[in-house]
Amino acid sequence: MRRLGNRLREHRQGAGLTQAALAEQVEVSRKTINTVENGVFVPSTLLALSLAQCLGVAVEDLFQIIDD
Amino acid sequence: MNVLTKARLAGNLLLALAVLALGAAVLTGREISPTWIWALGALAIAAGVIQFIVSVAFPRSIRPAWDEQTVASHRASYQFGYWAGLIAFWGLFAGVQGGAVDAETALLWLAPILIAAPSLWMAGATAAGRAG
Repeated sequence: MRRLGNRLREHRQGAGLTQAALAEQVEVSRKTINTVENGVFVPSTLLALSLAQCLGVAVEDLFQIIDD
Repeated sequence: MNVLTKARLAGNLLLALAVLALGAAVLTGREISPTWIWALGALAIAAGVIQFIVSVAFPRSIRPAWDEQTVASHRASYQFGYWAGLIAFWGLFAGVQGGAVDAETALLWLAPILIAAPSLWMAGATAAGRAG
């Protein structure tokens, strides 16, 4: 079983951003940032790339495929 | 939660609660008149108009309020509405055939169910953090 893992929270906190601040920068709701961080919502490629760009990291640093 | 999300949630809650109240009234023996259905339809349209006005007044609220997670929940709400309408139709059809419900009442009930089901889903999605 493959699933999407992410280190968004870690990178967001590293950049000193709150969920609300990051949400405002990528033009989504704070709840969406929260559900992405918790692995509840899988973001689109566009949102994943926007998050990576905003945090100044590669998208692979934010999201990884995990084999269970 | 921005102003557009709040307007949408208020509209959805009002519609869902109005239909639930209508259902409760019927269960306590009151009859539904077409006026109630008109009122519900007007409330649904008013909720849409208010959201449009809020969108125009606060354009920066549109993208966060309609981000991809919310759009996914919105699509799911219409799927839920479709199945709720379909199940209600067969249930009411069986009721009409069995003589438990008259055809006019059955027809009148389909409208509130179709109005309330997506609204109920969206209100639940908002409460669960899956919208807005």
